[in-house]
Formats: sequence, C-alpha cells, structure tokens
Amino acid sequence: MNVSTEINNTITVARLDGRLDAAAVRNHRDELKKATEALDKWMILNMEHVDFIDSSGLGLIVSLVRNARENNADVAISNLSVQAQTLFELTRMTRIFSIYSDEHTALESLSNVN
Amino acid sequence: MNSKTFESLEHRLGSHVYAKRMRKQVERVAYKLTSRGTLVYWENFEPVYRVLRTSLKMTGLLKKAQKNTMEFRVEEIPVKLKRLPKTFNEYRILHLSDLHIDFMQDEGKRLIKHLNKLDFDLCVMTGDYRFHTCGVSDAVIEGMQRLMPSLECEDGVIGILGNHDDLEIVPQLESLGIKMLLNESVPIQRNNQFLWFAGVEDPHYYQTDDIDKAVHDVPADKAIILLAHSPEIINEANENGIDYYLCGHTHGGQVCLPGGMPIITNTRNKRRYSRGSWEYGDLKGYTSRGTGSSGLPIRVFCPPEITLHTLYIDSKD
Repeated sequence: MNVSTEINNTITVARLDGRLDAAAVRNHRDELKKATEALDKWMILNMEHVDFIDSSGLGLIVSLVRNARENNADVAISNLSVQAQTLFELTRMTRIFSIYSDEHTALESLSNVN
Repeated sequence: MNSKTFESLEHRLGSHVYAKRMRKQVERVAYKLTSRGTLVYWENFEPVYRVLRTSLKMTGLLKKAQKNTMEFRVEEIPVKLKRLPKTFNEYRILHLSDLHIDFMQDEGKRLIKHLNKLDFDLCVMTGDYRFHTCGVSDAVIEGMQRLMPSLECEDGVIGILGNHDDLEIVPQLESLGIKMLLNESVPIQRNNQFLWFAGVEDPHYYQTDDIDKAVHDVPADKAIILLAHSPEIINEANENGIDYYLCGHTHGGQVCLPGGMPIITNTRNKRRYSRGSWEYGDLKGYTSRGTGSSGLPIRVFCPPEITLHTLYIDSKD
C-alpha cells in the first residue's frame, strides 16, 4: 500500500492506495501514527483506492482515531468501497467514525467544524 | 485473501459469529497499536515475561529453559470409547497443538524429525499456529509448509483456530491441505462406518464457539471427537454427547513447579483439565501441554509434547 498526504488549511488528507492488510499495517503504522499526533484538527483518510481491507487494516484505523482524539483532533473517512463499507458496518465501526461519500464533501463539511 | 473469501467465511460461520470474531480481531489490533485498553489476558502481559526472563537470566537458568522448548516428548495415549465403530479400533490420531511455529527454534527441524518416525492415520491440530496474536502471517505459513510433508497420512490433516489465530489465516492453511473446521464437522470413513470430527471456534478469547452448529450434521448415534482450542467448553461437550474432547491452549502451564504443577493455566477450568487425560461426566478428554511455546518461549518442568491417541472399542458395559 502507498500513502500520500496533503495539508489543506487545518485538515490533513491521507490518500491510501492498495491493500490495507497486516503487511500494510506493518509498513505504514508509524508514519500514520506520527501524522495523527501532528494534526491541527482533522485527518481525512481517503480510501478510494483501497481495494481490500481486513481486520488488521481496520484495527489500524481505529488506533489512528484513538491517537488523534488523545491529541484533541479526529479522523474522518471518505470514499469507502463496498467491501470496506461492509466491514465497517459488520464491526459496528460506522458508529465511531465520521464517514463521507467523497473527499470533497468531507473537506467542505469539516472546514465548517470547529 | 479477497472480499469473496470473507463472504465464504461469513457463510461458514454464520453472520453473528463472523461479526463477533471480526470485531474482536479489530479491537485486538487497535489495542496492540495503541498499547492501551482493557484486554486482560496473559498473552498480553509482556511486562511479566520481561521480569521472568530477567530473573531466569540472573539465575543462569534461561538457556536451559529455552532449550527445553525443543525437548519434545511423544505421549502415547490409549483411549477406550463406547461408540467407536469397529473399523476404527486401533485408529491412531496424531495431535499437535499450540505450534506457534513462526517462533519455533531451528524452524521446526527437530519436530519434523520426530514426526517422520511416527505412524498415524489422521493428524489433528487444536489451534494457535502463530506466536503473536495479530500481524503478518507469512512466517507461520512458511513454517506450516515445511511441516506438512511430515504429516502425510491416510486421512489427512484437520485443524481448528486458537486464540492467537485470525480468521484471515484460514484460506492460507486450507491451501496447504488442512481441512479447517469453523463450528463444522467432517466424517472419516472406514469401509461403511463413520467416525465424526467436529471442530469449534476459539472458546477462550474470541468465544465464538458454537458446538450446536458444529455437531448439527452428525447423526445422533455416531461417535464424535471434538476439537476445541481450550478445555473451557467441557460442560457443553458433555451435554452434546461428545465421545472424546481434544484440546490444548494451556501449554500445561509451560513454566511449572517441580512435579509439573502449573503456576498459570490461562483457562477458566479447574486445574485437573489443564494437562493430560481427564473425564467429565460421560465425556473423556485430553489436554495437550502444547507442541510449541508462547509468551516467553521457555519451558520449565513441562516438556512440549507430540500426542498419539490410539482409539479402542470399550466393550464393557
């Protein structure tokens, strides 16, 4: 999996590309954890190009939310695939995340959140 | 692994159990990555292992305790079962448990050497193929791949998951030729007679075992051998008419007092079910001390075991 980040005012957008599985967690957890610790307010995880996510990948996202919230910031998700949406719903993780249909909508919505 | 594989696992387990399993797996990974939460299980108590390791090192016992993890003992267990079909008299089952194969010293060479000398009809594995409770499983699969030729036998290899294994490993183990039972059963046929093997999901940490579902397809009068990771569902097994219960998980304590008395058994059972043969009501069972080691990979007064169960018809009434 590849990760690219971009800062848009107070919002960091992280675009993930590839499989979000145990190998991706091993390779990217430190980088993403550091990014959540340095957040101004929000991180949007754009998952448009995540073609597969397993329990390790979702576990990583949950840990990022916890890290961000400890630093008075938060993580939102956009562009979930059908497979990812199913896993989020099945594990009831839809209740702890702000989920948006696309990055643009997430940016617009979160720009107005204090 | 892809979305179709997840659909297949959900179909096999049922949506409720599958969701519970996946939720707990997600929570476990998140806990490991944030190092906080409420998961109070011995396998998460790394500070305890650090203290134990330092104590053993200071007393000069560490190397011996590490070497002990490779001193496999072959346990020959004869067992008489009342409902055993005649054609299964003297049937031999190789039982491996808690291999934690990715952290086995010498990549399992000594274990393979032992296994190559044994003669058996079927191999069963009662979970915990991996050392860590989450993370990549490449080394586990490579280890299992090395092991598989030594497990060749007439009726093949049957396995179940343990509390260290995630669901995602199931298709990988099945691709090696292991028949994984996820609250499912399979009959073994000899001539026109059948011996059924039922296997449940982990009753210890994930608590996704469903014995009713596991034995659903077994005809009422047939003998059933149950594979469960831990001895924690002996009551349910007895109520469901299981003939023989095979499990592991406890490692027999792994670090014991002289005489093999375990300090910790890591189960909700009474200690008499934590190693060796036992009976509970009409149920007979066996808890393996484990073939591999976990936590701090050492063993003290508790050798790792390779178990050979030989089944006999119990004709007395």
